[in-house]
Parts: sequence; C-alpha cells; structure tokens
Amino acid sequence: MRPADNTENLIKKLRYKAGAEAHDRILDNVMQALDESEKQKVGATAPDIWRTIMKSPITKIAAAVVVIAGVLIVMHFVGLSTATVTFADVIKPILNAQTAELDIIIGEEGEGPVIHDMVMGSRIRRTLSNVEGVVAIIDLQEGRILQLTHEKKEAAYIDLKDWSSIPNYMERLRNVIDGLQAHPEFKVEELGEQEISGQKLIGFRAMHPKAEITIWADPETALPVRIESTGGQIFSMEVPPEYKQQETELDLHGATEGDFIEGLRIMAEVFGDGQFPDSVALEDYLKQAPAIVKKCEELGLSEQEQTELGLKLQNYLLFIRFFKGEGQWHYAGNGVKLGDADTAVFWYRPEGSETYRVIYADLRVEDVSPENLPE
Amino acid sequence: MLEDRLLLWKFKCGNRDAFRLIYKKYAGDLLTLAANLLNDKADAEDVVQDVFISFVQSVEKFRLTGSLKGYLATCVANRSRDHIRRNKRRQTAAVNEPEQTTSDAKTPVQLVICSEELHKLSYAMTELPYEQREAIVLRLHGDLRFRQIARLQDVSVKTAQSRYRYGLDKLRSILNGEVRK
Repeated sequence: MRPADNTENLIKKLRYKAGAEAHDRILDNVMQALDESEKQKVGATAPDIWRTIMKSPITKIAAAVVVIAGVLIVMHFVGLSTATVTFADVIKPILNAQTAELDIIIGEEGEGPVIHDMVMGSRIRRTLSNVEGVVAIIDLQEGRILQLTHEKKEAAYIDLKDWSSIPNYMERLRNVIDGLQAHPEFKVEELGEQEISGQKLIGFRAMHPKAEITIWADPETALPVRIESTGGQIFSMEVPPEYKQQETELDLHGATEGDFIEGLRIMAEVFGDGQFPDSVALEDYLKQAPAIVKKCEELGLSEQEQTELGLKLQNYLLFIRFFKGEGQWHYAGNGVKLGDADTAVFWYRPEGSETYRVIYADLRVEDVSPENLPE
Repeated sequence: MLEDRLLLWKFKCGNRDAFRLIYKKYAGDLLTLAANLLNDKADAEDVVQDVFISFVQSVEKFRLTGSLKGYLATCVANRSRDHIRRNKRRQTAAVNEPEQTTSDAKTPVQLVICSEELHKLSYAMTELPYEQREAIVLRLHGDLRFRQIARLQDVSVKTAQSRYRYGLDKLRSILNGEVRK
C-alpha cells in the first residue's frame, strides 16, 4: 500500500507541458484580444489618456511632489486651506520690502521635510529638502509654474486652470506678520548691533508661539536692509538655455472621486503592501515622498509608468484639496487592509447633498445618511 | 504576492511586458490544472487562453484581494466546468499522454516504473467522480486551500476535504489493482 503522501507526490508529477509553439499561439491570441479591447476603449473614451500623459511630463513622481506642494501650500497663506501644515519655525530674514525667505517645516522640526521659499512680489522660488534637483518658480499673478529639473535639464510650464490671481504675495506675507504681531504672546528681542557683510546692522527677533521673524535694519534709518542679493534672475519665468521645454495644464478642480479612489488603491496596493496609508493629508504625503520615489526606483518603473503614477497621485491629492464638498471629510483608513468590505475608510458630503459619500476598503462607494455614518 | 501586485499594477498602467511575465509565471501551472481537469490538452489550452483573454479585458476593474495564482486557478476551474457541461463527451474522452517530470528517478529502471505509474495514475484520475478530481487537482496543482475549493464547489469545507480524501483513497485502490474498471 502506497502512503498517502506518495500518491500526492505522484499526482503533482502529472504535469502537462505545452510546447513553445502552443505558448506563443496562446500569448498571440491574448495580445490580439487585448489590442481589440483597447481599440474599442479608445473609441469610446476621449481624450486618449496616453496622449495626455505624454504631454504631462511634469507629473513624474518627484516632480509631482513639488508641483503639488507649490500649488497647495500657497493656498495655506491665502486663507483657503483646510490643511493643518505646522509652522514650527518660520519666517526668516525679510531681505527688503519686496523679498523674503522662509522655511515651512512639515511636522516636527528636524524630522519633517522643509519647504524653502524665496519670495519676490508675486513670485515664489520653491524647493523641497527631500526632493533634490527640482525647483518650482511659481507666478501667483499669472497662475503659472515653471518647473526645472536640473539633472535632466528639463523645464515644464504648468498653467493653473481656474486660478485666482494673487498680484502680490509679499503683501499676503506681511498680513501674516501683522496677524502675528497682534497676538498677545508676540515678543520682540533685541539682538544688538552686528557687522554683516561689512555693514553694521541692528537686529530684532520677533517671536510668536508658531513663528519667529528676524529683521536686520540700518541703525541710522531703521529701514529693513537687504542682507542677501536676490536678483530677479532666480525668479525668472524664462526657461534657461539648453533645457528641454514642455508645457502642460493643471486643472485644480478637475480631480474626481474616482481619481481619489484610484489614488487610495495605488497607495495601498503599490506603496502600502495592501494596507491603506495612515493619513491622506498633504503634509503626510510630503513626508512619504522620498520613500515613494525610492520605491519607484526599486520597482524599475519606466518614465512613462512614473508619469502615469505621478498624474494619478496628483489628482488624488487635488481631490482632497479642492473637492466640491462642504469642506468636511473624514479619513479612517489607518491600518485598514484593501478589500475589507465592512470597513469605511473615507466619507465626505458633496455640495448640496443630504447624504454622505462613503468609500469602503473594497473601494466601493455608497450614499449614506448622516445618522448612519460609521462611528 | 507583492511581486504579483506590482506586475498587475504595471500591466494596468499599460505595460504589456508585465502581462507577459504574469503569463510566463502561471501559464504552465494553469495548463497542468486545466489538462488534469479536462483530460485533453487542446481543450486545456483553449480554456487557459480564454481565462487570460478575459483577464486582460477586465484588468482595469480587477482588484486583487488574494493570490493571483489562486484567482486564475479558480477561473480555470470554473471555465473547465462550463466546458465539461457543454461537452459531456469529454468525461470519457481518451487521456492524452502526460509529459511527466522525472527528477526523482535516479536510474533507468526507476524511470520506467515511474513512467508506468504516471500513465496508470493519469488514467485512474479519469475514473474519479469530477468533484473528487477537481478537489485533488485544485489542491495539488492550483495550491488552493480547502476553504477556497469549498467556496468554488459551493459545499462545506468538510465536504471538500472529504472529496479530496475519498478521491485519493480511490486512486490508491486503482493503482494497487484493488478496483477494476
């Protein structure tokens, strides 16, 4: 009598091997079916997504991070943001009446990434500490971003659709500073006289629980002094010579619920090993940005794949920022596994709707009355 | 598992090489599965081809919640059943010659014995009730758990386990000459 496992082992040896010709034939037939299926889809949907993507090189993963930061964090200053970006230590020397440099620290100081802004009039020159080699020059008046990727000598103009012009960002910043000064805990510390770049200057540090400003001024006139030379060139919206130029448009209000769901799926499936992200807040996404870029490199994603991914994640972030809802949403995906049909991960109330849209972990969506929302 | 997710994602992004890798990775096992269920190589190739065509046509909506191999194996099992229902005659069709693997066979004598055993076994498999054969093949060639087999056969887990066990017992009996056709 043969032991049971012997029979099982013998059955496992009952393998039918198709020859190379059979495999080639099957694969050819499958690919042909795929071609036909795609032709039908292209006919049914316009515009062609691939053509759109090819025109959107700025949406590559690293670039998308900076663009999104460029667009969304500007909003924080103009009072439109619902994001909770923390200023642990912010506004640094005001160079003169028209320019400023400031660091926006995401999360805890020393841990989170830093957005470094140089501001002149309505223009911002923005870099991110965790995304090297990419600079965004943002024209808030025109609603345009020039993004430069130095290593590849690539330049891309991004036109912001539906942008409300901001003629002078410096004025906005000054309003922020005025607001800080009006705070009861606002203090000014005299730093005394110091010689900086051969010039004797007097310093003041203005402190606030959430911000600190250091101003160096001429002791004779008391006018703010330009400490660093920040010529207009670094704010230029002209593409430098030898840079390959591309143009695209970013529709701030074009992201849909479907885009957001697709972003959730990617974050869970590709970057979360089947688990939803801890948070969908912009600042948390920015913290993850280097890990996302690294993962893309590890996966050996092509330029085209990175472009597609960047586009999808960009829309995912834009949806949260600009969705036409009541300004209220709730995310509960922390620790939830993709596919769990019983667990809601996100809900929001669309504008004018009496019910909420609830997205579950299997990515289906249901309309739910307020009294039946998940607890 | 993670690799499958990434291949799937790349394929969803339009990367056809990713699909070719998925095909290369699982086509062999799926053909074995289908051939053991259908006892016909040509039918097995048709079924596997249909499964992959259906997969690529619906991949945009497809969400992987378990293993990709398990999913594809389940599709092959379902299509094989449909195929058998449509072609009742397949139940008694002649068995194709299996191309057995013989890595364990160390001498020519063992090789011959092994080949004979496989030939007998292949024939014996056709003697099993379809549900028992399906349970055995899905378990041993599809790597499906009894829970998955039970769901597919729409029976309890215990019933699926019993079908597997009874099937193996019957095969042993046939191979030992205890049961004659």
